[in-house]
Amino acid sequence: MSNSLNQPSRSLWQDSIYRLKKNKSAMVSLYFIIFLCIVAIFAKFIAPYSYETQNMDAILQGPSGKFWLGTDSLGRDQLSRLIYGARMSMAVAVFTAVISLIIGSIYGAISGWFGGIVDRIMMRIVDLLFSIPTLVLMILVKVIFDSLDLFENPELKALTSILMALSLASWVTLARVVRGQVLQAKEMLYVEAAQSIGAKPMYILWKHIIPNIMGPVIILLTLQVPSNILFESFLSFLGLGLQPPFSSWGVLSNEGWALMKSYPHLIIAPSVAMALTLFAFSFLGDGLRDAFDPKMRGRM
Amino acid sequence: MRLSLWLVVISSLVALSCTKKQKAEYGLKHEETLKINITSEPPSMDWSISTDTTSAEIQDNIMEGLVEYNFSDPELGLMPSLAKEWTSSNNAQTWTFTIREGVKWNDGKPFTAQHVIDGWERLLAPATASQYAYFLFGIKNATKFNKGEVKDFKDVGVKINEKGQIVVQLEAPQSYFPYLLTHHCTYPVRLDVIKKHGDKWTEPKNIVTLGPYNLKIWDHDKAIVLERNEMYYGEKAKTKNILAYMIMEKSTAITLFETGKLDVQTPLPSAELSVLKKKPGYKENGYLLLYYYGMNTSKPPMNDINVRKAIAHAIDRKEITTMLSGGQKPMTSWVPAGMFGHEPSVGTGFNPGKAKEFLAKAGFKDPTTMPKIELAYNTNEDHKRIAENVQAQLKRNLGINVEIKNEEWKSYLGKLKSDTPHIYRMGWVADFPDPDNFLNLMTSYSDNNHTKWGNKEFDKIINQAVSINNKEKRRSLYTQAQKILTEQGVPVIPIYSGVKHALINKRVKNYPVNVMDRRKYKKVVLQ
Repeated sequence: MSNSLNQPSRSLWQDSIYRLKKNKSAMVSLYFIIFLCIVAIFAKFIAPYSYETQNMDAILQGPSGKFWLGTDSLGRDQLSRLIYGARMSMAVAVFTAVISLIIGSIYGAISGWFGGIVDRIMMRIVDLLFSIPTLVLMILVKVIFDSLDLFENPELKALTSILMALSLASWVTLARVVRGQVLQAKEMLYVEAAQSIGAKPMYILWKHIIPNIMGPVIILLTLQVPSNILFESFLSFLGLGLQPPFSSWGVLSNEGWALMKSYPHLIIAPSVAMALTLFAFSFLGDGLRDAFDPKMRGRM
Repeated sequence: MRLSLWLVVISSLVALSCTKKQKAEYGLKHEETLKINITSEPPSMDWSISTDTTSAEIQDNIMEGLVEYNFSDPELGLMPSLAKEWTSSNNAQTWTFTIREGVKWNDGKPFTAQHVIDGWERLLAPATASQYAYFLFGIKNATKFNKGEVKDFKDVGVKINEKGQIVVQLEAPQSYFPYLLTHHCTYPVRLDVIKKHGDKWTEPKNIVTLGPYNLKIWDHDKAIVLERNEMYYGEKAKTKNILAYMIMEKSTAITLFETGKLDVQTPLPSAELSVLKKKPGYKENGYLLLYYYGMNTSKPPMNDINVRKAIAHAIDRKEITTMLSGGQKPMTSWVPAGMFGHEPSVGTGFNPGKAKEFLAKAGFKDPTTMPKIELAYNTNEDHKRIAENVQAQLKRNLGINVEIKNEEWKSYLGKLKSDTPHIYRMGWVADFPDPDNFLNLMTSYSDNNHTKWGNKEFDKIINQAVSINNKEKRRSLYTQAQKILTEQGVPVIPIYSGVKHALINKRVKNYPVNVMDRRKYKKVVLQ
């Protein structure tokens, strides 16, 4: 008893954040991701050159003082393309996660909360989407969005189709998890207690259910971000991703891979960047899982 | 999702390793097998129909025409093949070919003049819809037969006389007529085989041929195996087998070359030339290839001549050849370097100031108001590199955004026919060394003209030039035609004339290198 009295009183959230802060690898990863996001957002000011300026006098040069990471087969600065690539890759990864979070949680929450016939119909639709191979689904969605021509801005245009393809393919997993969590949470005694003292459903959802299901959802998201980055590079690798002149890490790896034997500098930079990012997200995901797990409470 | 990605990666690795094992085998011995790379699946093995160099490379080794190039002759003369000899009379308007005797198809049946006639009838028949039909349009009534206006082939100017010779009656004199017969579209066919097997007649178990090699195995999308034809009438092929892989990625192919799994690799990736040039076995030779961009003149905004001129003026060809650094010559005119009729001064060359003027004239003073323009190429690292450079040049010099799209060769050809993109990449390798072969491409009736552009005067000049024997007069007509094409109409933007780069293993002797890029392997010796 005396032990618990000595601890400062903390809410569920504070407790989790406290535990996360104690996890060194997760914090280093978090800082790295924040750094990456800053680089991605301010790419225009950080990158020494444009991602599309071609310089025929400086084709396929190795790293030098002028071009820190060398140049590619069209004389474009590799470092600038890597920085702009971070922008595209991160945008794809983060926005996809957000879009799939929004669709997935609303869908999952409705399905879980109402239950019964609604739940059954909604979950069969999810099953149906699950049964289609992810790659096929993505290619289909991409083809449809490519033909729609929603935006004038070429950068946005290049992004939307791939974003939509990835999000529409990945929200289903999230919907399932959220539904399961809601289903579990709504049977809890504290929900019943809240209902018995006359709390409104929205209040219960906000105050009791959302905080309790947030843990697994956030973890799933941090794990989905790297898989989105991988999938984007995978699509670009197949020639289905971003179209030139835009660069993403996937595009860069694809270009570098073709010239790997003669000019290895072109493959090393994007691979290292991608590997570090994937590690960072994985470590952060692990850290968050530990932090949100109530069973871990007080162990750190 | 993570799991599924790994599954994809692992299963593709497994699939790759399986196919590799299969590829190395086919039961062939290393010492007697020439291993080449034809890059992709041949779209069609049917020599009356196919239009691409991949299919032609195989066809040229399993079949033969009436005559054949003599590449040891610097003037590029002809030598007998299925025809023993040929003569012309009536000022090159009548041609008589004497058929070689004792030639047998590989199913044992004797070769006759009728098989040649059958091939030509099939090529010209409207039902075949061959894009190469125009090759024989010089023959009397052939055009009408192709259009369906003449129903009976007996009315076309091709006969077998009482001596068994083939007599060809032309509409007008055509000095280069025999050169046409080196091309696969004029090769003889066996109608009985085609009738029996339908579309499947080109499969190895059905096909009947008479060339130095037989089509033994066709492992679709993987490899083709050719085996020496022991019934071949001439000197038998020196090397027993040819194993032709279909490896799209040049870097993969070069790795295979270095490990000795490929004997020859061509073309080479332009980006790596500076490194590859230092390797033993590197060869470079100019050949009659024109690399160009075509424009669909019926699709807005490309239907506006000013837009087309603006784009042609905005592309600096020299920048592209500098980038490629493989000895290519920048071009603004249509007939490639190294050929009669080459006229480098003609054309719409690089001039960014004029380009902007023309764009403004077309009503796009503000280039951002331009509708979407699509630039298409068939999947290939070099085409991609050039396309990206052109995209950047158009943005830099005109301020317009171009979208790049790529497609695999077979579907790309289909797309050019059904829905031609605004701008598309194409190349043309000479079928016969005469400017007519290049200029005929852009006549309004040519099936290889995807630009939807047509000019009556241009057609007239091309038709007229064919029958003229005076070289200087002919040259001036072709210069005039090139001016109409590349200065007035501008449905096309010539980029450069080609150079072939190859890596050849030192065990390969007598590898065929020539300006026509014909690859007949019967003389190749392995050491």
